[in-house]
Amino acid sequence: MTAILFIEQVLNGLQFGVMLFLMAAGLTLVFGVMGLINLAHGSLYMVGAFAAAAVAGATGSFLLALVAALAAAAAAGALVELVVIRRLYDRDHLDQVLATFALILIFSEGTRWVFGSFPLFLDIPDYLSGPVTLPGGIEYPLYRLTIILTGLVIAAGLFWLISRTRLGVRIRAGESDREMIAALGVDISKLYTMVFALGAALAGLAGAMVGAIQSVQVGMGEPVLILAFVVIVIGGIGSIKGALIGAILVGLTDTLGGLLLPEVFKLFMDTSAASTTGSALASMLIYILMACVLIWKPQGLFGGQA
Amino acid sequence: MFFFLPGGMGISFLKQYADSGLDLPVVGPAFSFDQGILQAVGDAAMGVKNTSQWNKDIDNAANAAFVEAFQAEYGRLPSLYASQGYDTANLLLSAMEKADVSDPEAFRAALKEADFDSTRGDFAFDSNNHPVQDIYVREVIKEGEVYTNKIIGTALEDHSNVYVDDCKM
Repeated sequence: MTAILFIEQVLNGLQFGVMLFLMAAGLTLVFGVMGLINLAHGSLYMVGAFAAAAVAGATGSFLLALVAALAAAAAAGALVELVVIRRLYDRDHLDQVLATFALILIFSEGTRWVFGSFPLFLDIPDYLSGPVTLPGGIEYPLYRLTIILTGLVIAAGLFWLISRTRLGVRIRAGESDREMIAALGVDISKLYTMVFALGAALAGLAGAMVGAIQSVQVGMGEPVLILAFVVIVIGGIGSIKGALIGAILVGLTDTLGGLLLPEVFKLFMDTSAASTTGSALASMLIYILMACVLIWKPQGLFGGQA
Repeated sequence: MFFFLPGGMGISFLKQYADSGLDLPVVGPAFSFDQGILQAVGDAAMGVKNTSQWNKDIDNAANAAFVEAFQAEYGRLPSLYASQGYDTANLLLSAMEKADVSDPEAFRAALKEADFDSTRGDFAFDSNNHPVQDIYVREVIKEGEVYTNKIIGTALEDHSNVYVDDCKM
């Protein structure tokens, strides 16, 4: 294994991590601020990807497609919050899980009904396609670098939003004491709708950006949703910083585990057994990581009191 | 570069392969290049060679009728999965004409005769019940706005399977 391969995989892990962060940020905000488990977050990711594919197909513009993904996911999020989620805040987690699981089914079948079950076409725009040569002679796809940068810029924007703006103050206040902030005259239900739509928009953006390098199809959100839950449990529920660190940890662990574990096992096993054992263990690695973090810090890395 | 990834994984693979800067030619079985997948992959699949037991341009009456009827009904080109479904239905119908479904032995024997007009052309079952058929080489092309496959050669004629002599059936 060469250093170049290793660095490429680190970049892949980072790219995977920042996309997970976009998913996990909304999930952790909704969980932290409203105490709601939203299984339908993966559907909003799918809505973003389908909106992007539809707009890119109609206009040919990737930027417009991203804007459409943000808008469609935010609109779907706001609508879902107003119609369904709003009734769930005072219910226990089982009711929330059941209702949002129903939303997954409704979104999936609805999308199948509108777009059909064939995967849609969404491609990287010409100006972002192809590889670039990084210092050290590494060839790396430009689009993936763009994803990493976009994710980091959005992370910085979210930190600014949460720590420096009035909306952020309210979100943090709502997280620690929702009755008190309502008593102080903040329209808590409007705040909740905004937070939900914000989280949905980030998920939609992630769906659109990943959709261009993977496939845009019904059910694409659920595998990512599970990883996003792992991320917020590792990072600590409600913490944006935790979501970022957790997402990058999970992204790197998953990518590098798949690369390194078979190599490690090759040191004391024959090649085919090593690659089987290594890959089997690599797919468990993020859950092992989660278990270790929880043993060390039951609230997650940056979690406050539950 | 040989790969076999049907569905969404194949789409992801081809797009990312096209973006990676490698230019080794790609080959694979038709399941990674079927009519549904190609539209989602787009230009990244152009010119790729793949192998299949069926394509829409195989020249026989059953295939021509199938492709035309499918397009009239659904407004798109059939995939190889659709051709397999169509063949299977016709195979079942041919067996039902010869034997009673309630008589398993007779019905099984009637199925094995494979006395139907396959969209693949000549079709028979070997002693271990695998198909004997031609395997074609196809290339991904663009017809108007639609990505599809064109036969450019025959890879194996009346091909059965390599294990047929070892099989006890």
